[in-house]
Amino acid sequence: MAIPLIQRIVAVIISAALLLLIVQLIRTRRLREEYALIWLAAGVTIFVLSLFGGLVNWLAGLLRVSYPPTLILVAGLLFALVILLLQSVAISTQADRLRDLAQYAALLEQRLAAQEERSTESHE
Amino acid sequence: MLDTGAERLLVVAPALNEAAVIGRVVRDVREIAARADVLVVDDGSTDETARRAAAAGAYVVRHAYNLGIGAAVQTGLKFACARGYDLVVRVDGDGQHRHEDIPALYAALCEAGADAAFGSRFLPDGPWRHANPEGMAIPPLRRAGIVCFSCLIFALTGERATDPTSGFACYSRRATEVLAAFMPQDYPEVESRIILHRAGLRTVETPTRMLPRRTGASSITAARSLYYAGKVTVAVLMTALKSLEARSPYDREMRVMPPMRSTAGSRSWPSR
Repeated sequence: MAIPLIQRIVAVIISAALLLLIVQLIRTRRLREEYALIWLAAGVTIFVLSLFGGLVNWLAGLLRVSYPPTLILVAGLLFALVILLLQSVAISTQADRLRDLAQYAALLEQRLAAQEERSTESHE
Repeated sequence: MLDTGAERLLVVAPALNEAAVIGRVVRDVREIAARADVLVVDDGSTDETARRAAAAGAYVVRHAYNLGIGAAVQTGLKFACARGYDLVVRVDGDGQHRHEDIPALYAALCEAGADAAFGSRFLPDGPWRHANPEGMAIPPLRRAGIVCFSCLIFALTGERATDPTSGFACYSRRATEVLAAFMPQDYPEVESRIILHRAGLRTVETPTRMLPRRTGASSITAARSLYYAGKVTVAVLMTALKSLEARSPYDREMRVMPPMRSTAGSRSWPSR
């Protein structure tokens, strides 16, 4: 199935921009490596697929997909799902750590207050 | 009066906006267990809870924001581990538990050589069958939910828990360490039974009554109870799946999962 040239050019520009954005975010350390990896994989995949239109058709033929663009949608959805799952893991980890820190801070505060009380008593 | 001999006992009372009753709870407990220390964990109260608890002679640990009942109890257990207490009794900060029953709870723990003793309203020989004017009336729907949780716990652990939502409990040092590391967060009462069982610890129950709340409303309203039941069931099933591997250095230090490590002497957490 032939894709009009203008559409391919637009697709390549958009995917290249996405890939550049991801790389830039990693370079400026605004995206941690652990989350960057999956985004890089998604960016590269989209870029390669948009650059080589024949690749999608070839893959679709291999998997017996009658309408090749479906493949792109499925791939995008899968990436989105995996990224969401990873984010949930990250949020869970942070929630656990936040709870531990809050408990730790509360226990430390109590110790400190008790110590201060003792030292003012001994000064009097 | 409660005499625990040479064993040091900490009574943990998690509290959220219980300024009206917390002072009485602390004084009550101190009267019954004169040699015990009382710790009130203030889980982000916006009222005078912390000040009144301290004025009544309790240690007070304050969470900077509301972390939930499971985390509040866990903070108390971490406190107990750090200070080397041998026993922990958990009561509710709203005064629903009968503090006169603390000695019975302790006696049940010792008698059975168990690691956790729970106060139960529903033991066959318990007082709940008798005329009980001061006891709390339990709506049939809630009673049905409690029976369901009992069955669930029996299916998962083979243990009888006649009152699995009861938070009135006495923990040994080992149980304290296990729960300090792995305390379930949202609905800790039911899930903690599973955790204790998986850690290879024995539990017993002893009859008690629960008093009607003096102030405030239960965290479980009638409309939410079905939702609550579903969530607890899912949470319990997930607890049965969860790994009990330590995930932080703190957990590792606390770990008493098999193979069991001796925990002689008191730890000086959090310094060191």
